[in-house]
Amino acid sequence: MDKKERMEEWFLRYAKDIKNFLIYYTNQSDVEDFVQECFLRAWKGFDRFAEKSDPKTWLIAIARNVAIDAARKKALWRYLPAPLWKKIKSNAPALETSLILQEEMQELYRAIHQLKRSYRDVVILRGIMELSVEETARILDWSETKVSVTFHRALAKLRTQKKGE
Amino acid sequence: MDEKQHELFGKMRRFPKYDMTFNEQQRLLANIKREIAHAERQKKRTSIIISMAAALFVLFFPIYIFTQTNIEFQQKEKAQDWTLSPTFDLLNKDGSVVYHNAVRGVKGKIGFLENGMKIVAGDQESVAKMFWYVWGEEQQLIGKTLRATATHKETGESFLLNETTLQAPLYGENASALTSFQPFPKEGIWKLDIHIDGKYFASIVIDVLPEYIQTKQATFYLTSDELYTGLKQNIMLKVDGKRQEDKLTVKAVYNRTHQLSFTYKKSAVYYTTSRQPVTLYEGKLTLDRAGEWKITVLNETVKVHVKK
Repeated sequence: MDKKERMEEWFLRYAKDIKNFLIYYTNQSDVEDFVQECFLRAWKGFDRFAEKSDPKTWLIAIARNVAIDAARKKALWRYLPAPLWKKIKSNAPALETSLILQEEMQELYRAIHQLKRSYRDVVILRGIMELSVEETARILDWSETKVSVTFHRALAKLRTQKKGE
Repeated sequence: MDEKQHELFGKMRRFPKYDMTFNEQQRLLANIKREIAHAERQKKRTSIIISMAAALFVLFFPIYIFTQTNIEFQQKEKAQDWTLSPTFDLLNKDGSVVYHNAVRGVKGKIGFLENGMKIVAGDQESVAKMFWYVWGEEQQLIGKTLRATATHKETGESFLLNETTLQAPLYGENASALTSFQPFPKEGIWKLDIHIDGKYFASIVIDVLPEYIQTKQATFYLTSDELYTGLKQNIMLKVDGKRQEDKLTVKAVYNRTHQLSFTYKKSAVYYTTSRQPVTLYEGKLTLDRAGEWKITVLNETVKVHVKK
């Protein structure tokens, strides 16, 4: 199979997972540009993909970098004068919370987005995406122990946050 | 995992999973294919340009040889150039500005992201996260080793500042790397000589600020030449470790007879890139006389010279 066929196969197989991940990770519903960017980067970095590793975790790791870069760029907008910033902010797409029907779920969702980055990483991958400890470890380039411990702490943190309300 | 956490875990798993419609999938795939084709065409175009350049080179090589003796002399002069390298914009692939005036180096060749951050002698933090951006032929950059040595203008002292492997570009450059520099041991003018894949690539000249005012465990985020009489602004004080005290007292003594004391309030605890906890305090250091002062924090004293 040549490079193009491989990429196409990966796309058909994993684009859904990438989209899902990006929606939760970036907290917005329109993530098409990010999905596109992710596969483009994968194409460019194809030679660096080690045959042994799993394309799914490799692609999610790239998607995560895409999202982080985008967030960093967005952070620069904060230096704009306030009125301009407000306008842009109101145009920014937010996740349609109606998709998450139960109020209880909404509450949890908000709490997840208040977590610090390492907790949020592991909660989205392990919890929402239902990936295994091994897969999560590969995406974040952590040890499996670190994934388990951090996930445990994140859950504990979510519980105390709820209590505090 | 206890029962409550299990419940939480279960709830997470019930978050909606977003599907991709067939149409959406096909449209995205077509977009990606188009983008890839576009990128490939551009690659081809650059390789045509390169082969044309090679032809020109062969054509003009004899002339070059002829004038080389002169040029060589001039280049030697240039290598000793100690003028500070400028900062410039980092552009994205589409030509839009990613960072305004934030990359220092040789425009169109190589630079590092400075982004308004001061590089301070002896300070690990200001050089802990450095981005290199390199422009050139991607195949000759990506995956290759970048080696930067730094030479001090005043003393001639030099050391290995950084060695890293170049990665794929992030924005409009052709290769990039995220790495850490070794801290600069001395203030002053430093020249960074950069080699890529064993070949000399470019030099960048920078100004390194004098050390922060610091004792063994506490650092004021203020370099010694920023300390003036009547300094009004708040100063951050970093103390190693996770400290319990909500307030710290900083004492400043002039000439053994005149003493001032300042209260620093705790503002945050964070972890450095090497995962060491540090506590941040905030307060003032408004000294009323120029000259030699002794500043004491947590029973440690440092001598400073205050300018008028």
